[in-house]
Amino acid sequence: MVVPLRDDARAFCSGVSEKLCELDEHEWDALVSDENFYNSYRWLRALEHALGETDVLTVRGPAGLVAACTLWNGGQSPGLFYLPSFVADIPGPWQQKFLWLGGRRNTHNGVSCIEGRRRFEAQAELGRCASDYARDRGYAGFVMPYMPYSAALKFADAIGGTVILHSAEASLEVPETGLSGVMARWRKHARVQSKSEIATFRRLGSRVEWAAAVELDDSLAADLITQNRSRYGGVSDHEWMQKILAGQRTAGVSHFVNAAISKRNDDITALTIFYSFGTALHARYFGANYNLDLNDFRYFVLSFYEPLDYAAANGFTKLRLSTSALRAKVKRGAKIEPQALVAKCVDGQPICQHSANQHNLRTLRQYQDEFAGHLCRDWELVESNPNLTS
Amino acid sequence: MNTASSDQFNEYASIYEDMSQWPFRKYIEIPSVFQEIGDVDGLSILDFGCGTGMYARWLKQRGAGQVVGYDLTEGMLNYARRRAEKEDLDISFVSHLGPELIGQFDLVLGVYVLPYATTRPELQAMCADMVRLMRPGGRLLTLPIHPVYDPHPNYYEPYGFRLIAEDPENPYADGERVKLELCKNGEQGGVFAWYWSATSLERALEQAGLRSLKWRELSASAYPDANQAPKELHAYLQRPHSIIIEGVRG
Repeated sequence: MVVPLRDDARAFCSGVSEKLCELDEHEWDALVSDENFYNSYRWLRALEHALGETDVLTVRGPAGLVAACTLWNGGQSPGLFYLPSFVADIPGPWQQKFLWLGGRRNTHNGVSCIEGRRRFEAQAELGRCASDYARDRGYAGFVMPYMPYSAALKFADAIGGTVILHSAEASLEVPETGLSGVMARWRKHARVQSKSEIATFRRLGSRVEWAAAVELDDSLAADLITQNRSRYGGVSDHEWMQKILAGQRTAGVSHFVNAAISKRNDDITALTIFYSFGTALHARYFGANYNLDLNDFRYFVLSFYEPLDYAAANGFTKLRLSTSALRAKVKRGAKIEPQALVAKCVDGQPICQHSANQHNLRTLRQYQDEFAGHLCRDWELVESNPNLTS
Repeated sequence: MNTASSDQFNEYASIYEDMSQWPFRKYIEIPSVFQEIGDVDGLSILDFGCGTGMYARWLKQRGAGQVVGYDLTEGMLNYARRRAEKEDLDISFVSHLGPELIGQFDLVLGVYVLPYATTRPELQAMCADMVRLMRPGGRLLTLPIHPVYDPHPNYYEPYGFRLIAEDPENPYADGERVKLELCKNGEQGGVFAWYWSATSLERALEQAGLRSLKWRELSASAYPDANQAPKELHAYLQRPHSIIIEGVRG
């Protein structure tokens, strides 16, 4: 339906862009759907303030930006961002350097791209641009990790990439009645357990307050978050976390912050930082003072129970709960969504689609075994939409 | 507007927002619309075909109560939602008109939406959709293609666009397809629109239940006399490409 102007006038062109800060914030965000917070302009700018600038790939049409993404190098040691650990059973040059598309350390990615009929074409051009960038700089290929499975299928189709299931994310639909509405769907045992956790939290003198970023002390928040990360094997220190939060303030991400804080008397004992975006609340950081010997279920109160009521009262329809501690989240009503990376090698060496399909099916079975009854419908796509065997 | 017609806007969000700063809109269309709307304090308003939400944001900032933006184009809605979030404006942007919205609005604003009805039944349905949203006594303001726009293809080029009738011999034929090309900064793409005569527009609006229809010419309201407006606006003011129709739900 778009006016058939000359082909060269309608064609997309792509390249390594000027810096992110030189791109128009609103033009970028016009490509960002409600589900793609971690590729929104301010989040990416916050990462730049904290961790330094990165290159940006852009695709433009005659009327402006139609697709874009930031680039980074992934993690270099085992962890959430270490490619070899995602694909150990698939032959490929995984020990070589791969280019990563999307925001740094994102555990939820989507392609920032126009919607509609020309989305496929715009994504294809972004893929060509990523291939050229990777080839020119000696990368073996590129990946976009932590994509919702359905989005990964479409991106892979557009760029001739391979979909590799590698992770899962928990989320909760928020009914208008909040926590009570969610509990009404549970079995009695689960309801009793959650009510008991909430009662314990209160009996031990804890209460919850919600705070905007302006009311938060970044140093204290960084301390609590770092304590929690250290407890579970994280290596980033207090200074690193404070730098991240400072970057968010500079970039204006703090505008989206909603923090659930647990207090005893006037002492902050824990917090969960959420970001509101579109119709979802995105849980990103939990922190706690583990010097206090408190067994008051503050993680669950701050990250599940209270946010359900808060979300319902403020018109949010989804809680996004990230990729960790899935068992605990499922026990409290969360659904598990499949996440995949899209990979493409640039040296002409194809990724074995058969191996990728077998890997995906094995991963599917693992999640089916572990989380039966808690998987969202997108998991059905793993069986019904395999990679095309080359 | 059907899905195919709305899809053509997906990659034009930024340029449409930018257009609010183009002189013909900034000094003529937008002030004319606000003058016609008048005081919005506390009004519930639905911006039908809201695009990037420019009018919706301005109405909210000017004191409107509930503001809802409706558009079928996801690319436009992404822009509208992201921008309103950042500006802390409590506006709901939707792509579906649910039953909870029926009969709720004091004012429905439909800027450049009727030209995207591709057939007469679609024009009728679009008018019915807009009127259904209004409470009895509520007002509709809508901006179609002016029934006597200047059909010379380059007439509006100094204003950043061209309107090109598919059949230049018969530009005022009902349902005639018109090409809108954007050319302020080179060739920036374009979309198809459809021309509807004054008779067809009035009939569709009246059949939808609108009464007391009034036609208002766009003007440069900042200037007491059109001749005092900047010279570069004169040609547009003589033959504006759009016009305001106002009506009340009976």
